[in-house]
Order: sequence, then C-alpha cells, then structure tokens
Amino acid sequence: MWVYVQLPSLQLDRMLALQPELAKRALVLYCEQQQQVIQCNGIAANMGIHPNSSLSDAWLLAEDLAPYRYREAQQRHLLQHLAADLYQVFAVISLDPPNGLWLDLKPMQKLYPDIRQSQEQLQLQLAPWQVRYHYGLGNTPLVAKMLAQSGVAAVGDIPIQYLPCDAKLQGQLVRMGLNTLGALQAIPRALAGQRLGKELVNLLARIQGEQHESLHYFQPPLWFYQRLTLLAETSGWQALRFPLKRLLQELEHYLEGRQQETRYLLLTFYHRDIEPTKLEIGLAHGGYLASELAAFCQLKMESLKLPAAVLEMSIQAKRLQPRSKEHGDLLHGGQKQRKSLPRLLNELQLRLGYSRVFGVQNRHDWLPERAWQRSAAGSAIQATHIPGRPLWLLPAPKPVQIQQWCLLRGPERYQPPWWQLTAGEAPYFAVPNAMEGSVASQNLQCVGHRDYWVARNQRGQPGWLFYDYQQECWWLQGWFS
Amino acid sequence: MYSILWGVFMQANLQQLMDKGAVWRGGEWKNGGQNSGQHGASQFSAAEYASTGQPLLDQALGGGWRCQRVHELQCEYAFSGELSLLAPAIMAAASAARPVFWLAPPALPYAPAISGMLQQADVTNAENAQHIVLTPASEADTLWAAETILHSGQVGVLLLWADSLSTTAVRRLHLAAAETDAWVFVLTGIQNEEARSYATRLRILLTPDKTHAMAASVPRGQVQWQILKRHGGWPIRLPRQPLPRWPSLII
Amino acid sequence: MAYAELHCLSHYSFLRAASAPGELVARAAELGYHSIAITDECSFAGLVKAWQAAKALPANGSGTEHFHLICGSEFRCEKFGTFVLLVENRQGYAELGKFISQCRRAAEKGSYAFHANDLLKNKLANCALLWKPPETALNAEVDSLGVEENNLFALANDLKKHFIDRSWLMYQRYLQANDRLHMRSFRQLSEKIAWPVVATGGVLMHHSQRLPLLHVLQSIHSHEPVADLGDKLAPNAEASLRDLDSLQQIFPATWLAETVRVSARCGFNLSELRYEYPAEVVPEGFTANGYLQKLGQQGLRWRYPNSIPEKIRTQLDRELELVAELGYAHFFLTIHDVVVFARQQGILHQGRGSAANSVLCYCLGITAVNPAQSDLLFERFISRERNEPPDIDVDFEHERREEVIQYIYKKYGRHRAALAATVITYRLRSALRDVGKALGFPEAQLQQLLHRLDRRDSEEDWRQQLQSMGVMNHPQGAHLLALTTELLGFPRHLSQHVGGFVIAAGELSDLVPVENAAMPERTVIQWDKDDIEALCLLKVDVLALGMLTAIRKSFALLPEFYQQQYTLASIPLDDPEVYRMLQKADSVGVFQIESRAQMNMLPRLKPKCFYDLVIQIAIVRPGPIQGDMVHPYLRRRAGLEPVSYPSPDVESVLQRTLGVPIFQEQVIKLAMVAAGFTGGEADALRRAMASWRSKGKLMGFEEKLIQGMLARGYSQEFAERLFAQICGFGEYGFPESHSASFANLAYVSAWLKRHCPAAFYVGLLNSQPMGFYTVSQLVQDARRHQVEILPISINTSNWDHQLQKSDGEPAIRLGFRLIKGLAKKDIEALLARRPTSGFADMVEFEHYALASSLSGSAQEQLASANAFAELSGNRYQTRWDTTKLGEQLPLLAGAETQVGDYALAAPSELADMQEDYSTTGLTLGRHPLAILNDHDVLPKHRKASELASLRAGQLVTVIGLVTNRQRPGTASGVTFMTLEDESGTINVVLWQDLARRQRRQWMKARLLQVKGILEMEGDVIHIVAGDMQDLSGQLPIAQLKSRDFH
Repeated sequence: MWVYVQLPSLQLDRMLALQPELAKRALVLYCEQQQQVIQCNGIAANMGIHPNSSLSDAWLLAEDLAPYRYREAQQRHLLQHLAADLYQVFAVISLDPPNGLWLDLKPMQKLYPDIRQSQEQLQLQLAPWQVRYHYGLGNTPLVAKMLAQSGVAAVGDIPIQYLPCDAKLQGQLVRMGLNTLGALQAIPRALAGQRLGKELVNLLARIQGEQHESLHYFQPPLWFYQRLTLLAETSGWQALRFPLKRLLQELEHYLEGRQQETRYLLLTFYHRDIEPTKLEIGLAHGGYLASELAAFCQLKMESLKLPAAVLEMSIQAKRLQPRSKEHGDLLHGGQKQRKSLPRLLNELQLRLGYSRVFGVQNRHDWLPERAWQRSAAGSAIQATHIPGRPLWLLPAPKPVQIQQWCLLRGPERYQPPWWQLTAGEAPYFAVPNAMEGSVASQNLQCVGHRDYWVARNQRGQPGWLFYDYQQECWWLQGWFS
Repeated sequence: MYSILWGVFMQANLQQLMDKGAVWRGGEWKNGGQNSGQHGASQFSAAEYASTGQPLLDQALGGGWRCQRVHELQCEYAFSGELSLLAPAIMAAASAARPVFWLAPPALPYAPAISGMLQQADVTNAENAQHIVLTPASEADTLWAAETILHSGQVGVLLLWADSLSTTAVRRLHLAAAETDAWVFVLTGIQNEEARSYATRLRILLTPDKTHAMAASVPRGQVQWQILKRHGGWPIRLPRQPLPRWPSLII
Repeated sequence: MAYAELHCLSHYSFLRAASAPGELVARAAELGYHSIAITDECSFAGLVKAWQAAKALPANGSGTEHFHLICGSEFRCEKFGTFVLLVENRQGYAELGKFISQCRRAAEKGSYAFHANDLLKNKLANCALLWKPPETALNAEVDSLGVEENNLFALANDLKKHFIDRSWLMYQRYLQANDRLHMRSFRQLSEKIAWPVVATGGVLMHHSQRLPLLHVLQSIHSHEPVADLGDKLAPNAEASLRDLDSLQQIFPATWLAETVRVSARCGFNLSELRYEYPAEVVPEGFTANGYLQKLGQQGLRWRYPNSIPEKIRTQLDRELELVAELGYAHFFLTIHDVVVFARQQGILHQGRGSAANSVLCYCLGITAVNPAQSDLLFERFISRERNEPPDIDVDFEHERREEVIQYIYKKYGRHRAALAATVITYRLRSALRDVGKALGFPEAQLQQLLHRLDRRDSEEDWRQQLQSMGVMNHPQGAHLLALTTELLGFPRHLSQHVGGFVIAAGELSDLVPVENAAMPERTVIQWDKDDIEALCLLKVDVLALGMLTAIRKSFALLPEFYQQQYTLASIPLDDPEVYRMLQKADSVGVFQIESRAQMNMLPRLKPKCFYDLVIQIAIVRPGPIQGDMVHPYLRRRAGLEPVSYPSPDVESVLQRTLGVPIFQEQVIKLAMVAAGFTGGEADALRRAMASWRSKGKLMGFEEKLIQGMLARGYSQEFAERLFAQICGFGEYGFPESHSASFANLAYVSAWLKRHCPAAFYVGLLNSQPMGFYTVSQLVQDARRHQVEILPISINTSNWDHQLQKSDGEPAIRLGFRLIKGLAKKDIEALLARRPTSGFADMVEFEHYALASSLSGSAQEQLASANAFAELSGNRYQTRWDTTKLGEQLPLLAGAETQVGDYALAAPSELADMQEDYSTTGLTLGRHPLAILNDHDVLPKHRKASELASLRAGQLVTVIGLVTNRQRPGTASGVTFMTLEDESGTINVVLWQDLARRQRRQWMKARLLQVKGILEMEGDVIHIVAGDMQDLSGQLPIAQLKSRDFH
C-alpha cells in the first residue's frame, strides 16, 4: 500500500511561512528562461493564473502581481529537508522531485495496522510545515500518484491526461472517446496492444502492479555531529582544549574513513541557564587533520569571551567535500611549523581578519580605479597589455595643486561610467537633433571625462595625475615608485 | 654590538672620511657581522644575491641584496624610487613561482603595473606570479604576520613597511629570515638611532632638480644613496644620479 | 587650417555608429570642416540622406556649390585591418558600387565577404584608398611586419602598384595609452612602404554627448549589459566630430593638411547620377512617345467602344503631350509591359495611387477606374514643377504575384532589376526592450513595463505612462527614457520593400549597390523609396491583394453555376439591390467595408451610388475621424444641416462631398483655389501632410495658407478650421484615387455577394487567410444567406472548396484544405487514384490508402474530421479502425485487426461539435449555444434575433461566443466586442474603466455573459456593457479562437 504526497507550492508556501506579510498579494514563482509561472498562491489562482500559464498572461490578469524567481536548488533542498523530517516516522520514502514523494506503508503495518493511523501521523508530521498538500492512496506507486494529482476518488475515473505517456498518444486516445483509465482498461489487452502500441500496454501492466516498481530510496544527508559532557564545569579556554582535541580526533577519524575534508566547523558550548555560545569557523581551504583544526579553533577561541561556565560542548562539521590534493607537501622538509601556502593564508586571515588579506587582479575596464580588483589570496595575476601604469594606486584620489607639478606625458582620456551617475549629474543630455534647430555652437566638451597625465612634483617624484572636466580640478591617482 | 651613537654628533670631517669609506668599524669585516654568527663564515654563491638594478649600488653592497637577510631602506618620503631597487628581487621570486608579500604597504600595489612589469621583462612562467597584500590593523599584528610568513617558508620576497620596529622585533625577523631563502626588506622613514642590527641599511635622499621649468625635457629628480651599514664595508655615500626608473614607466 | 573628415560611419552601419547621416553632415559644416566623407561599412545606404543634408548647407571653401560630401565605404578584414575607398568621379562611383555589390552578394543577408586581395583583383582605378593596419601590427616593431604569413609589406607594395598615387595610410588617435607607440609605427611604416599619411577621425557619432547611446548600441551588438562590457566599450568620446583646435593639438599639421588634398581629388556629387529607362520596351521603328501615342489611341477605342466622350479625348491628348514633354514615356511603357503579361497569364490586376487620376492609364489597361465616373485631379498625377516620375502601384492576385516578380527578373536580368529596400527601424517596444536590457533591467520587470504600456495611446505620452509605473525610482529610470527616445527611428537592418521594383537601362549597381534579400533568389538595392524619389529613379510597385484572388476564383465559377461571365470592368454598375444590401450593413466578406466600424457607418451613410462607396471607404479612417469631418458630413447628407460654401471656388472643390473636405486631393485643390498655392507648392503641402507628425514641417505652411486665404477674402475662422482639418488629416488622409480603386473592388465583391453568393463565399474561403473574419464566421454568414454547406466527404470533396449542384441550387462542398494538420501533398496521391464513384466501404478505402501510401496520421485526421461519415458509423469507431500503432507482427497482422473488432460508443452531440472545431475550426452541426441551451445549462438570457424587438435603453442579458475584440484608433479607449449565438451576432461596446476593472472576464473569456443597456440608432443595435461573467467553464472547447484586432 503506497501513499503519494503532492506539494504543488512547497517553495512558495515556505516563503509565505517566513514572510506572512506577502500573503495578501497575488504571488507567483516564475521560471526565468521560459517566462512561465511554476507555483502560485490562492489569490493568484482565483484571478485565473495557474502553474505553467505564461508570465505575460499573469501580468495581464493581476495588476499588482508579485513575481519571485523559482529556485530549482532550493526546491530540491526543501524536499529533502521535508523527507528527512518524515524519515523520523516513515522508514521507506522515495523522492519524486520537484514536488512529490512516496511513502511505503507496508513496513509500517506493525506500528500502524490501520491505514487511518498512518494518515494521521502524516498530517501530524506535515502540520508544522504549513504547506498545501494533497495525497493519494494506491496499491501501486503509480496509481497513488495519479490519484493524488487528479484528485478523483475511483481509479477508473482517472483522466488519461494524468497517465505518464506522451501527449501524442493521449491526443489519439481522446480522439477515440477513450477519456478515462477505466475506458482503457475495458479494452482487451491484446487488441489494445495491436491498435495502441506496446508502450500503452506496459503502462497498464505497471498500473495493475504486475511489474515491480523500481524506486530509489531516500537516505538523510550526512554530516558529523558529536556532543560531549565535560567532567567538571570549566570556564577557561585552556581547560577546554582537551575535550576539543578529543572531539577533533573523532572528526579526523570520520573524515579519514570517507577521504573528505571540512570547510566549516560549528562549536557550541552549553551553559547552565543561558543561551549556548556558538563559535563558527569557516576555512578558505578544506582541513581534516585534528592538530591543524585545533590550531584554527584556538585562534578563534582566544578572541571570544565565555559568558559563563561550560557544562557540555558539541562540534558539527559541515560542507564536507572530497579532499583537494594540495595537502601533499608534508614531505617538504625543513624546520618547525612548515606549512602549506593555503594553510598559511587561512591562518593569516583568521588572525588579521578576512578582509585584510587579499590578492590583486586585473580587470577589463578602461577607468584606472576600476582596472583592478581584489581576488582570493594566492591567485595569480593574468597578463595585461596596457603599458605605462604606476606601481602604486592611492586608495582614493587626492586633490593636488597643479602649479607644483610639471606634466610629462599624456593625455589619456577616459569617460567614467555614465550609467552609474544619476541622470542629474550624468554628463549627458539629449542632444537636439542637429538637423532641425541650430545646436549651440560653443565647443561643448563631453562633460565629465578625465585626462590622465604622467607628471613630476617638485621633489622629482613621478606621479599619475588626472584632470576631471566635471569638477574642473586636478587629482593624484597614483605614484611611479 | 656597535654602540657609538651616530647621526646628530657627526662632525663634518668624519663625514668626508665616511664618504671615502676610510673609516673602519670594528668587527664588521671579518666574520660577516654578528647576526650571522651561528653559521660561521658560510660562503655565499652569486645566486643568493639579488641585484638592485644599479651597478654602483650593487658593487657597494658587495653584489646586491643578500637573501636570507633583512635589509632596511630609509626614505624621506614614500614613493621615491625605492621599489625600483627591489624589482630584480621581485622578478626573481616571480620566475621561481614564490609568492611576494606586501605587508602594510603605504598605498595599493596596482595589478596592471605588476603584470605589465612581468610581461615587459618577459619573466618565465610569469602567469603564476602570486602577490599577496596584507593590511594588518596594528604594528603587533604586522610583526606577527611577518614572522608567521617567514616561518611558513612559503615566501619569495617579503616587503614590510613599519616605522618603529624595536630591536628585539628586528632580531626575531633576522632569526626567521635566516631559516628561509627569501629576501626581506623593511621600508621606513629616516631613522636616527642605529641600535637595530640590519644586514644593510640604505638611506635614500631625493634632491629636487634646481630649475623647475615646465619644459618638456626637464631633467629627472636627483637621488643620493647613503649606505649607513653594509656587510664587509664602511658606510659610504654614493654620488647623486638621476632617479631610477620603475621598469614599466616609459618616459 | 582646413580639415576634411575622410572616415566617418552613420547609423546605417547597423549598431556601430550613433548618428544619422544628416546629423554628421550638419555638425561637420557647423564646425567649419572643409568637407566630410560618409563611409558606411560596405554600404551606400546613408549617402542620399547625407547628400540631401549637404545640399542645404553652404560650401566651406571646398569650391563646390554646396557643402562638399564625399561618397565612400569602409571594409574591414581580420588580418589586414580597415580599408576605406573614396569615390573620385562618376566612373569611380560605378566601380565602388559594383565592388560593394560583389562583396554583399557573396555573403548572406546582413553580412559581406571581403579580403584585402579583392582590392587588387577589382577595377577601382577611380577611387582613393585609405588603409589603417591592424592593431597588432601597430603595437609590434615595424620591421617584424614583413614576417611571412601576414606579410604587410608585400600587400602594401601590390596595392601601391594598383593605386599608384591614390593610396594613403590612415592615422587615427583617440588619446589612449599606446598613442605614442602608434605614431612612431605610422611614421616608420610610411617611410618603409612610401605611402603618405593622412589624419582621419574614424567618427562614430556627430557629438560627444552621443557616447551613452553608442555604448548602448555596442551592448546590444554583443548581447551583454553595458556594465559588464568593461574595456569592450569605447573608452571615451574621441570618436566624434572634434573641433578644429582640438584636432590641431592631436594631429601633426602635415597629416591634417593631407586630408584636404585627398578631398580635392574626390569631386563626385550624387546629383551627377542620371537615370535611364530600360530601352527594350520600345519596339523597332518606333520612338517611345510615338509608340505610347499608338497604344493610347488603341486603348481609347477599347475602353469606349461605342462613343468616346469629348472631355476624355482632350484629356488624353493633354496627358500624352505632358508625358512627351517630361520624357516619362518609357515609364508608362514599362508598366504597360508588365500589365500585358499579367493579362495574358489571366492574373487579375488593378493599378492604384496617383496613376488612377489619368485617362492614359485607363486606356493602357493599367487602372480599372473609369475617369468619367470620378472627378480626378491631373496635377496630382504629373506636374511640371515637381518634375519627378509619377508613382504607380499595381495590385496583383496575392497567390500569383510571384509569377509577375519572376517575369520582371527574367525579362531585365538580376543585374538590372531589384527590389527597393525598406529600412526596419527601432519602434517604441523594440527600443525600450533593447535599451532596458543594455541598462541591466531584469527581464521580468521589462516584460511588465512592455505589457502594461497601452499600445493604443499615441506614441507621445509613453513616457508619462512609464513614469506613472514608477520607472523613475529605478536608478537607471531616467537613462531608460532618455536613451529610448534617442534610439527611436534608428535603423536595425535592411529588408525588402513589399513590391517596389527599380529597373535600370544598364547595370543597376552603377546607380546603387545591390545585396541579397532574406528570401532566396531575391535581390534588394541599398536605398529605400524616399532615396529613390530624391534621385528621381523609376520605381514600379508590384503589390499583392488577396481580394483579387477571391474575385478571380468566384468569376471562374459563374459560367457553370450562374450561366453568366464577367470581368472586373463588365460588372453591371449601380445595381440598387447591391446598395440596398450594403445599407443594411450586410457586408461580411465585402472588400474594405466589412470591419465593425464600417458596419456601423453603412446604415448611417446609406451609400446609393459608386461615389458614395468612394466616400464610405475614405471616411471611416482615423484622419477624417480626428479632423471631425464625419458628423458634419452625415448631418448634411441627412439634410439636418444646410450645405454652405464660402465661395464658388470652394464649392467647385467640395461640392461632391457636401462642403466637407474628406480626400487629400480636395485639401490640395483648396490650397490652390482658396490660398493661391501653385500645383508644386500644393504637392509639397501633401508630402508634408503625409509625414507631419515626425518632422513638424507642416508649421511652415500654416502662415502661407492662412495669409493666402485671408488675401482672397475668406474668414479667419474658415482658414483656421481648414488648417486644423489638414493637421487632422496628417498621415491618415486617404487619397481619392486610392479610394476609387478600392471602391471598384468593394462594389464588385458586393455585387457577387448579392447575386452569386455561393460563388462569392467559395472564392473567399479558397483565398484564406484574408480579411476580417474567420472561416467559421464566413460559413455562418453563408448559411444565414441560405447557401447550403455540405460537409467534407472522402468520396466527393477535393482539396479546395467547390460548388456542387444540390437540388437545383449551388451548394458549397467543403474541401480537405479545411482539416488542420493535413497537407495538400499528403492527400494528392489518394485523390488522383480515387474512383469516380468513390469508395464503397472502409475496406476498399484501406486498399486505396495503402496503394497511395497515405500516412497513418493523415488517415487519423480524416477520421476525426468525420470525412468517412458515409462509409462507417461514428468518427470514434473509424478512428479506432484506422489506428495501427502496434508493431506489425507478420502473421497476426491481417487476421487480428479488422474493421469493427471493438465497438466504441458514438460521440455525444457536444463531443461531436468539439471534434469538428478541433479538426476543422468550424462545425456544421448546431451552434454551441443551441446545444448548451438544450441542456439548459446557461442562465436566462436574450437571443441576438430578439434584440430588434426590444426597447432602446432596456436592461438586457445576452450570452455568446466571443468572436472578435477590436480597439479602434479612437482615443476614447472604447472597445468593440462581437458575441455570436445560434441566431446571429451581438455588438457589445465596452468603456475603458469597465474594461480595466473586469480585465479577466473579457480578456480571456471564450463564452461570455453580458448585462447592459440596449442602444438603438436606426438599424444599428449595440449593448453598452455594464457587467460581464466568464462562462467559458461551461464550454468544453479549447480550440474556439476569436479574431482579435487590437
């Protein structure tokens, strides 16, 4: 006996649960490429909008439509999360992405002999999720699904649009007045095979349950979680290092078994009567050695004050990923504390602060201050072909007195991005068509561009200046060291 | 330990003696300076020297910048051509695919100029030249970072800007530098007291050119290098010469 | 210091430049340039517009009469950089035109094939060459340029031998980092290959403020938003026309001076182009005029067999004399030749446009409107002042027009005849979408803006609409409005004119380059019809008209079924029964007067004669409606308003339209008669009227018009009212000549509908898609006129609908063409083999189907369309019997499945109707409403036939299928809707606020219930909708579509 749970608007309902104020408007989730509605709420539905109607129709029918992008990955994640939740009650689950899943009731017979009890359990488990769903009961998965989707009572009445066969075949069946599953099942199987083809006959067999349905079953996702109660209340970091070490060793063992490394550790310290203290450690590059992870944890722990004595502590390692190859340089030799570059960078970022350790990279843009960008520490610099650039760039241009400088080379003229300026100050106004009226003949420079010059100051230092036509003043952009 | 105070009391004549490199300061020559005592007089092959790009200065420094050493460059104002002296060392690091660390720089190292420089000198495997900039919040963090970097052994060239390094800090840098095969440069302002033990101490003085005509072909600024301390030689002041040109700047 | 800009692109280099040719020329003159060259990429498309602008500007020391425009074109080659060819003289112009045509025709539409060596292979002796080597070469060391595979020196030497002293290196500077390097490379290269260097701008915009628009164009070109393009965008605005002082700072003086020396060599001016007519239309031993004279006299005798009215004879002589004087004989002979071909092939045709004003055209058989019938204006046809060839369009049957086009290509050859171009430009929606994408607006928001922008409102206030939608609080909102405004009207690509042919005596590419059109073996010239007019080239319009096809197909049926034979000209005129039919607005299917708005006008105007039809066609148009001439005319016609004329002159002009100007010709005549305009000035007014909205030139005439009328004693009030009416005419004023030609066809189709309805409907049904109504509505209208419609039958139907005698009266047998998804070739083989007596039963049909390899799906379609009704029971059963999807197991095939092995229930009446609609789009069974009423599923409501018996102002409820929705141009935003029930159609009027409030009900509904007030005006009955209910749920039919004209 199978139950199929159909969740027509899982993602939308979860969004509404988190932001109830949206509930009053016509809400749709649309797919970007096909410009089609995927899920819609009640208000949108009774305005005539339904799943896979076109977005332009939706705009037509609902003046104040609130469209949001449908996120494929999030839908998958939510379905898995829901299944994991149901897993605590129903042992055999099979996902049917994007918005359905099967529950096999047979193994549950012992626990809930009467089907109604299983249904109550299901409703109980789904209640906190606040999602719309309807479900169908059938002795084969396919029948259960079709009943859930079509919402009819008897199997015979299932309209053939819900049969999983290609639309052309469905069209032909309608043309012969065969509109329901019952009508199809009435035809002698051999004759149906001749007239309507083998595919339909196999489908009927699956529906009758004559063929075994191969579903792949759901396993909850894996991450490492371990909790430890301390022998005695401890309040100092030093004391906490030993239990931490033990937990990390178990983590190392877990990761070793799976040849994985983690990039996110969550330490939770539980106090007696106040909120537990949480400590998150993100790693730019994956780690798995207990000693290495201990060093990182210690760096972070030093900077965090413990509000009260700690009774228990737990560690959770997420974002597990297969081990990257860089770690092979242990045999580099040499003295104490040799470490790989990624590890060094991790350490530097943890201690100095993530934003204070970065690489520099070129960027394809004319304007000097946009021609570079921050990049991940340790990345290499790509080639560029612009000659004559200063080694040093001031974080922000400094105004200068042009009298103290003597211009050597230039100008290089660049136009700052007009689309970032609001229309008011944009160096831009609609030029009257020269054909008609006479354009004011005075020599209108393209307001707002900059002329860059290499120049030397009184002390002889070569610098890089630019004159801004909008502000009509000179600025120092950088130095040729 | 060189203890005589320098700077303010120096008489003019001593200054001239200094110019001619005639004054000998004890203990400097023979055993290569106390700081590398533990190793004994290890021979240094040419590979350990990085040129300064200026033959006179190379010769004065006995071949250029020695690796595994900490060198101090003092400038009156930042950006007076000091980096052009370190360009060969930076490029050597690039071709050896060893990272270059910019620790607390006075401004932002500009990526297009760096890659332009690498391209122009067509450095081999320039494509994986790594440049990492660190902007620590405090001088203590800067020191900690410098030591951690040196201890990691993952460094080709370490450029460190700091104005008030203590003697102990410098000594720790020396110890760390000695264990790597990196070049370490400390760039500061003009320092008066000489207590700290650097392998070399070079002071860069910019003298403005007399005429400040706006003519296009005005002579470049004048620079004078004063080597206050060098391995195996007297402090010496080199004659003025035109400001060196950073490789990628074509004037 | 003099400077000539030698390398400049207009927006006719699609998506590469941001200014119009006219703007570039005007700005160059304003900056005091010596001259300017327009050098679009492998194209002359912008030259004529640039030449027109230059003609209006004084020369700047170039020694020419006007501002000097140099003609040229740019060619780009990946390996060797950019080349510009400048025309030195008329011979050079032909050479370059030929060269462009070759490059264009060697590649498909929109692109060209060019390699540097082509410059050596082709004769370009009278062109100057400018060359800018590729960027990679300029950045490298000069001596490395001799390297083997792209050997620049070798190419330079070869080109030098070919162009001798007419080749230059083209140096361009945009103030960039490598300027000095490039300057050095140019100097060294110039020395090495001994080519002089000339400074050029590589101009892409006339003014630096156009930079944002240029960036948008570059973004559209590379399909990436502007913000992501980084250094692919133009770095600054230096690629614009720069003032002389800046140029002096940027370029060495010698290279600037060189520009003037190059410009001096290029003296060619477009006005030197002379058009010659094709000679072969004049037979041996005749002069053009002599032959035309002979044809004219022959035509006179043919058109007026018994007596030739004196007025017509003198008119013909006057026309012939003027044609001879202006040398247009060849023009008429060329068109006459095409018309003769059409008559020989039996292709129905009719001339329209200014030609319909002439007796000569009527005699030559070009037009079918008898000049005696309507008072035509000869000046409009040809006038001495205008001195440009007349504009004659000839309509042909739309299914056989291609034969006429291929005849012209065959007769004159592809190198001498080609279609004129139409420049597809940015309209509001396309501009808004592309600019929006470039500025990074999210797709969904753009979609929303475009959707809620009501197309009906005129283009001016789209900006207010957008602002009211809150576009301004988006950071790019202001840029979106400003840049969209600027992008409007920019060319996007060249497409082919609907039928305008240009035919040349010699090589067409000597006049204008020719390139491939989108359609196979069609060629297009690079100029549009305005360019052709500006240079007085001959254009022959070969247009398609569906109604001609329908009329010809109806004429073919007359002998057999109505024992009569007619041609367009021989239909009996002014038959009162035809006019009585039209006065009752029974005009479904009649040419030009079948739309809802026309149907409303017919009972009020009550046309009684041919000229009334001419007025009826012209009056229901936005022009007269906005100039509010409709109501005064109707009141005067009904005698409710006195007809008064301020002067006998005005009376002579407006007498036939009761003093109300309706036709364009009348406005011109009034300007001449009342305001003293000459023929030429009057025509200039007509041209301005035709396009006043965009260029606003009409204002110049206001002063002249009003003063002229005041001087002749007309009241200020009359003058201003007349001027207001002229502005109202604007683009929509309909020329009487066009109206007369259309009226001719309208009368013929009305006559056929009245006297030979079966033939009329079959002609229409076999020419679909055409006209205003769906096949289903035409069939309904036919049945309401007691024409019997026989269903599709496998034994008697053919591909086309045909007439069949059915108890004495002609009935229409529907053809297989009606079945959706069935192609003619699928069934031809079967019909060829079908025995005359038809198939006895399904088994015999199966046998023939197998023999003619009729496809399985074709059989299924036939079954569902109930074509086998006579042979077997219900269509479900026949569908089952004809379906064999299972693999054909050899031994079981025959025995296993035979007819009737499994009985299927017959479809219900509703299901039958649904099958009819889904396979043929119509049903011959009972109307859906009738069936629904039987099941009395619908709430209480009135039928269409009962409305006439009710009181005006009564509250009524009606239900019907929505057959069409129409929002006419009137600004009031009213919407017309037609509901159809089993007894007829109901006209519903929907005001804007209700339309907006109950948008879902009327926008998507198929079956609609309307509660509203009944309005009656004579026979015209409307229901003004008060409330609407969508009952589509009751209706199981998805395929029932309506004809929506928004």
